[in-house]
Amino acid sequence: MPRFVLVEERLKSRHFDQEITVRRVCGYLSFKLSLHATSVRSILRVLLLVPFASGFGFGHDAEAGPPPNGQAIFLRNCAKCHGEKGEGISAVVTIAGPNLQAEHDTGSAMTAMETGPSHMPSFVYVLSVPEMRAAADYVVNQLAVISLTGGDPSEGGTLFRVYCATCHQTSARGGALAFTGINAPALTGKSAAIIAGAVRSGPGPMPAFPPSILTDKQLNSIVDYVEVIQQPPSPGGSPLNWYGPVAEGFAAWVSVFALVVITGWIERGGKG
Amino acid sequence: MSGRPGGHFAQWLDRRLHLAKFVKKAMNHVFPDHWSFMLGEVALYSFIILVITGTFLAMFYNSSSAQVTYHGSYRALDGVKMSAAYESVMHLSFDVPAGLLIRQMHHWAALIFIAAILVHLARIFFTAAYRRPREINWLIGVTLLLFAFGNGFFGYSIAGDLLSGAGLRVAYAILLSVPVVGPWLTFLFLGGTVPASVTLPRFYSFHIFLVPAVISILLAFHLGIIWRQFHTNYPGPRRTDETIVGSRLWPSYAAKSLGLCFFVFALVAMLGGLVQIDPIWVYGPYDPIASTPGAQPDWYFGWIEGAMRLFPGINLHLGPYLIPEVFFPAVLLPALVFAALYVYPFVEEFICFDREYHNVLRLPYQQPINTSIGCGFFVFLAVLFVAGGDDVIAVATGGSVVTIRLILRLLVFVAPPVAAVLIYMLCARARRRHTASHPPAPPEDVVVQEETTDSSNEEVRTHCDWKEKCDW
Amino acid sequence: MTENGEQNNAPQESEPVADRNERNPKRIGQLIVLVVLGWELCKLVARRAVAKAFAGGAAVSGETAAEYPETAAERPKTAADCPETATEHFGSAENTGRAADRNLDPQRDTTTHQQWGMLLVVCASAIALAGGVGFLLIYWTGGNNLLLGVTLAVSFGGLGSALVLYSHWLMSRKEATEPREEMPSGTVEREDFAENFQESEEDIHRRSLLKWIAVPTAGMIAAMVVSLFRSLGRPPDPSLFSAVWTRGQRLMTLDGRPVNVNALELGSTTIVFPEDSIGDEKAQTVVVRVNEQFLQLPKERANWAPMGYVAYSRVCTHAGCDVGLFEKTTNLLMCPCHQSTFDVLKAAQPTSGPAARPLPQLPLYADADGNLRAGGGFSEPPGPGFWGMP
Repeated sequence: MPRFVLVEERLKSRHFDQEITVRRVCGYLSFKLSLHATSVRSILRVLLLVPFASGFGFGHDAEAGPPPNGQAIFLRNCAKCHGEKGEGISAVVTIAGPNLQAEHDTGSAMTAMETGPSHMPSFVYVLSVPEMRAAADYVVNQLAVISLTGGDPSEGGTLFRVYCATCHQTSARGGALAFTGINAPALTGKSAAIIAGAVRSGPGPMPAFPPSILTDKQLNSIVDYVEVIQQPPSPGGSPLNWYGPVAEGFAAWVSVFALVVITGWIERGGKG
Repeated sequence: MSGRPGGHFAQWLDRRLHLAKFVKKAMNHVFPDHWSFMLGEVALYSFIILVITGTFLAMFYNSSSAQVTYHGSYRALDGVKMSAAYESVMHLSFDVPAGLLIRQMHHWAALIFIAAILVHLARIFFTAAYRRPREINWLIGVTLLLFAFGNGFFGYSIAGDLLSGAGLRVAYAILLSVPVVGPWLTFLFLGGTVPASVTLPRFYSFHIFLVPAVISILLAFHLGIIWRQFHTNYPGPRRTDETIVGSRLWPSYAAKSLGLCFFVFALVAMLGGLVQIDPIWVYGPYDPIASTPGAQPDWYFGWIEGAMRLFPGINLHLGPYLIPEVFFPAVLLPALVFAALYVYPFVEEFICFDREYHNVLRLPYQQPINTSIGCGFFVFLAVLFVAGGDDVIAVATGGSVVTIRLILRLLVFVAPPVAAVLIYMLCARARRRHTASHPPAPPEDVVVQEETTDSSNEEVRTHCDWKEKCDW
Repeated sequence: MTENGEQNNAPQESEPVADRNERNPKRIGQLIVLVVLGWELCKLVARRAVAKAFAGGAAVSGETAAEYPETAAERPKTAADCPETATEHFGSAENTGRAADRNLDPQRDTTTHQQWGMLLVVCASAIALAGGVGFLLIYWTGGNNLLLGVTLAVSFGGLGSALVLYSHWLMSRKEATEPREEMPSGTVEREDFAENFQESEEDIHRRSLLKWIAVPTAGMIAAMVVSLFRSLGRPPDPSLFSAVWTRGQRLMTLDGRPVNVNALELGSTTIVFPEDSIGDEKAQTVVVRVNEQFLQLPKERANWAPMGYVAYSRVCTHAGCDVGLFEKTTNLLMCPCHQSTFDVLKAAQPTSGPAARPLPQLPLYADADGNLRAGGGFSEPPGPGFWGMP
């Protein structure tokens, strides 16, 4: 979340576009340098490129034109994976692109385009900042039809255990599936938008839950509960990665072996 | 009491109880010095922890399955309907000072209790300490293990969380699968077709009254018999079937044993404080329509769970009757395993015509067949145990549970014999080397066997006085 | 009750920051006082213990550390010769090769050895004491599970090490040998017992009467006890065989809404109950909507699945868990407990895993309003198998 806020602030500042440009140059340089790091000559050659590269960058950004069309950019760059309406496209076993219909935050959409989370490529070299912003605006204003208004995490917990935990585990750390070759993923580190979108669209082997099964309010409660369970309190100490009794049994055996070592120390040298 | 014989209190006691003679004898009781004799004590001291912490927990636990609405400190369950039992455990964990620590210590002590019993059993088995005159104690020990299993299950079930409920439902299915009497058993003891409102109070009374009482009584017999018979000795100088060698109870052994007691306490406290066990707030209250992957029993039922996962779906139809698939891995297999444990000493005695008293242990390499049988047996259980966590392994490694199950189905047949043969070869080699470096002094009335033939056990038996030397 | 109070105050929790700041110095002050007191106490006790122990240790032995190397080789012999401990062996290094024998006994009486031992024991006890004091402090100042556990462990661990170190450094490790008792009683004893028993037998007149009384009485008591088990519950009743649903019942979701034929998309699923028993464990049913063309139901069930809606019992036939896991891409229902899989398209026949019997199917039909209704009970009694299951 702080990351999104940061991006929002940076968006507002005038220097953001320049920053992107400088980054582009630095990225290019570091790429070049890493390729030819051993050769001094090539470093010099790369240095010679600097004015050209920076000039190209600034020149591109300074270009004035009609305001970018968010829909066109989205259809050209995003719809292949996210679907034309942002409904997400799922391949047989895995997810090509998640559902975007719960994305209500321009900042996080921008961040995703900039950083390219998970399998998604970064669009820093493909789209200019105004273009990215236009695409993000299009997603947030036109495609985001799933409302995220907040709900009751307690009720969400009960629903989560009935509808979701059966695959994703009560602690949302994922579970085994049978034949699809992948397992139900852990829900840690997934944003509310991604989770809500997944519930509605059913990526990969996951069944979809349309509003006739889970109402918007119930969906919001579930999303809220998932946010709780992503970082559940563990007042009792290390949660052993939430693996449950299997890990606990392992820890018990480790301690029994520790006790065996202690008996060895107590009876050191004793030959029975 | 006995530190200063002239102590007023000691004299006061002695005037009433005539203790001097008895205490002197007790103080001079000899215990052998070897770490492996302390493994049973680890179990004993974990049992003490269980009793102490369990008493504390019982002051807060409510076994009712009446539905209440939670309004405690854990906000993510606020307003959720749950059983009073679950609510009381939540209250204990979040709102009672040190309650969570004691609960976690209780659970860890239970896991360590049974693990220690098992290690103790393995030591007895691999050193053949179950031989005459210690068969009774072997039987009592196996019974103790059985009751410890049972009590572990009762304790796991009464917390009222989702995993407890899942365990209870599986137990219901297992009990129901018993031929002829299964439905009767479930209706009488569980109170109906599904875990009903009477189940938790019953399990609670089993958990805190019946089974602990039986365990305590058996434990008293177990210790009384070992006191009467003395421990065994490992082979060594002055250690014969007629003598016991070691340190005296007072002061040396008492200090060491009490020290171990405190170490067990310390380790359990460390686990209770640093490693979370059974986070019931994450599992949520038991809901008959909710279930979760990664729902394993505690480790000691892992092998039964694994057998249930590996066993193929085979029903047995006997005319109009049915023996369901659960019966074979979850009732028959444990019954066979425990039956094998119970009869093992007598079978060995019968096969070897061994009527002698044995107070000196056999080292594992001195009894290759015994050792290899034991290793095969434990490897078999270990494979089943791994199978009990196959879905967790699949998630942790990113693999497919189907593949893992296939591999384990093969391993469960392949691994035990391979392990047994391997261990047999190792033991036989070690024994050959040992006999080569320490040629045994031949007893007067026995013909010395040739060195070359003792690699095979049968030949040894035919060549020597195998009443004495059955290296089973 | 206190937790309820706290909860009601929860919204105000952001305010009393000042309050907390006020309370903190007090707590810290208390803590400091307690720590200082505890430390002083520890020092006092440790100092007294050291003084006492060292005074005692010095008095016990006149030997010095310098003498030790010479005595090491010679001590065992003198010990073995010592007549008063005929059964006690100092086990010389040459005989047994025991590490314990090699280095412990000869050293044991030297002052330096004992002083080292005392130092270790005192240190361990001090750690135990510090742990205990820490535990008390933490407990009385609020109690954090982590710190409570660690201090408790330190305390017990210190005690344990103190005792073990005591036995290692400050106790003789003489090896005692004692004869065991012969296991079978001696002939004299046995004959004596037999005689005694015989005599007491003669005190019983009409001995056969005892048998006649004892056997039926014991049997009767056993019968009484066993029959008390009957009070535990009812005998197995027809609910075991019940198919739960009846014809015409609407399919209701968990929150009590009827399921319409348009409710599900292809490949989505939900849980339904009969309209009069929502939330019932045995009646829970999973409804899946699949493509009608792919359905391979047996002929007699051909009209059980209107518009591709198929319904199966959600209770696993293997061990009774909830078969809640549906894979859209493979059309498999899976039980998360033991990974049995059932093919939704083929009347929920088990395809892998430990289950042997298919999930019972619920016949469905759509009424005039388009709501789904049960066309009868489950095809078999739901739940795990049992003796006498049809």
